[in-house]
Amino acid sequence: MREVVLALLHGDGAHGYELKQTLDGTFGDLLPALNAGQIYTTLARLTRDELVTSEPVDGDTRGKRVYRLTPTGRAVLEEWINRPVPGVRLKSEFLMKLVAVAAARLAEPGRLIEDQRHEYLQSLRDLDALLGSGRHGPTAQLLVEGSILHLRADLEWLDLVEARLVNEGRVA
Amino acid sequence: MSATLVRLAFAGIRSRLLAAVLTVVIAAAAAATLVIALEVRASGVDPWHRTFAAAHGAHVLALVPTRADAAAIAAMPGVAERDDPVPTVFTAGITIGGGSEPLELAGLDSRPTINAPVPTAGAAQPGSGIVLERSLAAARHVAVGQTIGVPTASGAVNLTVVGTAVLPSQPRYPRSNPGLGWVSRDTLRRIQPDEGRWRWTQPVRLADPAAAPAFADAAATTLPQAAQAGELTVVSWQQQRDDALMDSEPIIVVLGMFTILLLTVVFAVIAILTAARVSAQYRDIGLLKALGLTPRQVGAVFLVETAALGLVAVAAGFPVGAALAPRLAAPSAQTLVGSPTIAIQPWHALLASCVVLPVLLLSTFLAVRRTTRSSTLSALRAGSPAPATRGWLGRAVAHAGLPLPAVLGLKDVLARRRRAFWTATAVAVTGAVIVATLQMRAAIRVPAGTVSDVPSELSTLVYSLDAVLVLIAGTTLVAVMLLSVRERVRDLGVLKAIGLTPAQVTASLVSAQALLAAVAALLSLPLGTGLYLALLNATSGTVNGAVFAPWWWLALVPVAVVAAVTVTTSVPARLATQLPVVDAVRYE
Amino acid sequence: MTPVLETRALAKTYQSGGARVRALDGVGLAVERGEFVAIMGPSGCGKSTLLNLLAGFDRPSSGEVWLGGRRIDGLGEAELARLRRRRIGFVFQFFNLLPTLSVAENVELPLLRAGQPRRAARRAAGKLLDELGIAERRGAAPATLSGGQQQRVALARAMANSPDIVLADEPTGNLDSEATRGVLELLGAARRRGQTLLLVTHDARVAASADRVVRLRDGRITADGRLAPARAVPDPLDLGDGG
Repeated sequence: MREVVLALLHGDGAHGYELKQTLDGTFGDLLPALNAGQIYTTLARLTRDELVTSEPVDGDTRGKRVYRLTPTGRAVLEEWINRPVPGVRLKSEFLMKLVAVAAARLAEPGRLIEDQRHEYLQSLRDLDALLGSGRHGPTAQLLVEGSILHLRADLEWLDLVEARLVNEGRVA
Repeated sequence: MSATLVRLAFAGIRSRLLAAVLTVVIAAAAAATLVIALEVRASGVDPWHRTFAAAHGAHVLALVPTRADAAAIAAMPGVAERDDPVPTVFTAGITIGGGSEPLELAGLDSRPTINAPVPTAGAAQPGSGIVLERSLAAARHVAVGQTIGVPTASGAVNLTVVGTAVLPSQPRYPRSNPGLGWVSRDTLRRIQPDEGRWRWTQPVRLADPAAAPAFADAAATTLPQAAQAGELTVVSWQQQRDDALMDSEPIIVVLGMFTILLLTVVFAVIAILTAARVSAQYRDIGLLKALGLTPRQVGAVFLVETAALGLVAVAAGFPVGAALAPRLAAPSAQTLVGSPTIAIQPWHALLASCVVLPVLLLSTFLAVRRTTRSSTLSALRAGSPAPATRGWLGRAVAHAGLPLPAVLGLKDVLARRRRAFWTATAVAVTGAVIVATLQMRAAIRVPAGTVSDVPSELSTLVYSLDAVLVLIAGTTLVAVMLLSVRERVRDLGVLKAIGLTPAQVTASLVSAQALLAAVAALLSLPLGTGLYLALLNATSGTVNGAVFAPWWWLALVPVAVVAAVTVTTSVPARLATQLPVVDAVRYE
Repeated sequence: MTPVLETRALAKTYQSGGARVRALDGVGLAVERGEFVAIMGPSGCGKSTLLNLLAGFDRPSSGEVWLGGRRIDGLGEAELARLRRRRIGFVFQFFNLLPTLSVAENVELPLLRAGQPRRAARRAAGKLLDELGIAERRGAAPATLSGGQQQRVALARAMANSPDIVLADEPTGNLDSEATRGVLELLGAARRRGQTLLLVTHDARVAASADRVVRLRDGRITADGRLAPARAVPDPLDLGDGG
C-alpha cells in the first residue's frame, strides 16, 4: 500500500482527497472502498519515515495539505519499480495440514487430498461464475483469472502429492 | 551420402516387395515385347541372305512377255552373269488341298544356275510331278507324295508332289498370290501347248549388285512397249528381300503397339504406387529429421530404387524376348532356308533399357516432384487427399441427389485425383486392347477352307499378349484396390463412428470405384476401336472394308471390367468395415 | 429412473507388446439423463478406454455396457452404427476429421446422414461453426487447420445433430482459454437442452463446469462426487491476497 501511494504522489504531488479519488478510480473493485482515515494514516506514516513531505495549500481554510515525495521517497519508489515482486512463495496451508494429520494418523491422507481437490474444483466453479457474471471490470477479471490459474496449478500439485503418496507410501 | 541413399533405396524395395515385384513384372513384359520386335526385325535378314546365296539369287529378276524380251534384258550393260529364261504359265482351276485355285507354274528341265529353287523336302527336280513352293504346301496342307489336280488342254491330270522348295524371290503364300510350283517343260507344254501364251522370267546377276535398282529402272527404257502395256515386271534383290521380310511387318507393328501400351500401364502403376509411398513416407517427419535428409535427397532415393527395378526388369525381359522371338519370326522363315538365327544382339538389351528406363524414371520423378520443394511442410501436405469441393465435378456430385454413401465415395475418389486418373488410364488401356482384339478376331474370321492372309502366328501373338496384359492389368487392379482400401481404413472407421453401417461404408467405397471403372471401360470402346483401325492401317495400308465385331461382344468389356473392380474392391472393403472402430482409427 | 448410460463390472484387457495391460478393472458407472459428467485421472488410467466402450467402438473383455436401457456390448457393427446414428455424438482426442471433405462438409455429415435436406444441413453447420469461432475456415481442407481449429470442427461434427449423448475425449486439449470458454458455452447450452454429456478431460476448468466429477486410477473409479452450484465469493476482493 505504501509504495502504491508513493507512485501516485509522483510528479506534482496531490491532496489527500485527490489521492483517495485516484485510488478508487484506478483500482476500482480490486480494493475495498477505502475511507479517508486509512489514507491519512498511510500518509502520516510516510511523512514520519521521511519519504513524503506536506505543506499547506495557499488560501485553504480547512487544513488541506499537498503531499510530495522527498528525494528519499523517490529513491524508495525507484527501487520498488525496479525490483520484481518475489516469486518464491513457500507457503502451503494444505501441506502442513496433510503432514500433521498423516503423522498423527488422524485421518486417511487420500481422503484429505480428495476433499481438498473437491474444494479446489468447487472454487474454480465459483470463480468461473464470477467471471461470467460480468459485474467486474477488466482489472478484477485479471485477478480472478490469476486465481483460477493458481487453482489449476494446485490441482496438478495435488495429483503429484497423491502419486508420491502411492509410490512412496508417505508424504512425510 | 550416396551410399546411404543407395542403402535406403534397397530397404525401400524390400519393405514394399509386392509393389516392387509388380513393377518389375510389367516393365519386364514391356522390355520383352520390345526385344521381340527388335529381334524379329533382325532375325529375318540373315536367313534371307543365306537363302539368296544358296539359290545363287538374281540381282535383278525380270518377268517379260516374250523370249526376245528376255534376251534383251540379258543383253543390257552391267550384266555379269545370265541364265536361260524360265517359262511360266498362270493356270487357274488347280485342285489343291481340298480347294481350287490358280497357281503360277514354272517349267524347269534342269537346275538353273541363277535363282535356283532351294529344295526343302523331297526331290529338287519335278520330273513328271511337281515341286511346290514351301509356304504354299504348308498353307494348303499338302505333303510330299500327295497329288494335285491340274487342268490341261486334254483334261485334268494328277501331278504327284515330289518335293518342296524355297526361292528368295518368292514371298510367303497366301500374301503373295498366286502360289508357285515347278514342273518339267513337257508338263508345262501339256498344260499350255501354245508357247506364245508363255511368259518368261529372266534372271541376271550384275557386276555391281548395289546398282540393281538403277538397272531395274533402266529395263523399262529397254523394253518400252512391254513397259507401257504393263507386261514388264522388274524386281531388284533389295526389293525381293523387303518383300520376303514384309511378313514380319504386322508382327512388328503389333509388338510395337503392345510395348507402348505396356509402358503406359507401367507408367500408371508406378505413378499410383510411388505417389502412395511418397505420401506415406512424408508423414513420418521423424524419419526425415533423424536421417537428416532433405526432401530432394529422399526423391533421389526413389529414383535410385526405380532405376534398380528397371535394370532388373530389362535383365529379365531380354532373355524372355530373345527366346520367344524365333517362334514369332516363323512366318518369314517359311520362305527361307534354315531356322531363323537367334540373333541375340546385346545391343538390343541396351535399346530396350533406353526405352523402358526413361519411362519408369519419368513416372517416378513426376510422383516425387513435390519433394523438391524446399518446405517440408508443403511436402508433407502434398500427397494428402484434398477435398474436391471447389471443382465443378465436386459440385456436380453434391447436387446430383445421390444417396449419401455414393456421394461420400465419389468425393473420396475425386479427392485423390491423380490416383483416379492413373487407375482409369490403366483400366482404359487394358479395355482398349481387349476391344481391339475382339475387333481383330471378328476381322480375321475366314470362311472354312480358304487360307487367311494373316499369318496364324499373328493371332496367336495377339491373344497371348492380350492374356499377358489382362493378367498384368488384373493384378495391378487388385493391388491398387487393396492399396486404396488399406489407406482408407481410418476414414472408414470414422464413418462408422458417425453412424454409417458397415454395409453403407462398403457401398460408398465400391460404388465409387465401380463408377470410375465403368467410365474408363466405356472410354476404352472408342479407344480400342481406334487402335484396331490404326493397326489395320499399319499392316494393310488402308482402313477400307474394316470388319467390326458385333456390339454385344463389345458390351461385355465394360460389364466384365465393372464386375472385376466390384469384386476386387468389395472383398477387402468388407474386411475393413468389420474392424471395431477403435482399431480402425488407430491405422496410419 | 433408468440411467441413460450404465456400465456393470466393466473390464478391458489389452495385449500390448507381449504384456497384458488391464485398462479397466471392474468399473460400474451410472449416468442419468441430462447429467454433465467429467472423467479425470492420470494418463493410462483407462479414461479413453471407458469412453470407447460406452460408444461401442470396442468390445469389453467382460462386464456389461447399457445404453438407454439396452445392452450394447454384444451387438454387431451394423447395429452399433445405427444406435450411434441416433443417440451418440463422439469427439475423438485426435479429431479424426475426414480429409476428403471440407470443414463444412465434415460438420454437415451427421445431418445429411439423418436425412436432412442439404440447405438446412448447411445452415445448421454454419451456425455451429460460427458459435465456435471458425466460420471463416468452412471451405478449407481439415489438414490445413491448426490443432485447436480441428478440435472445434470435431466438436461441431459431434454436436451437429443434437444427439442425446455427447461423448468427448479431451475436447479442449488444444485450445486457449478464449476458445475453451466458447466450447464450455456450447456444452452448457447442450446441457440445458437436456443432452447428456460425458467428457474425458485433464483441464480442471472444464471439469469444474461439470455437475459430477469421476476420477479413475489404474482402471478403477477412485472418486465420484457432485459439485455444488457456484457459491458467492467474498466481494469486494482483497488486494492483499497473495497477489
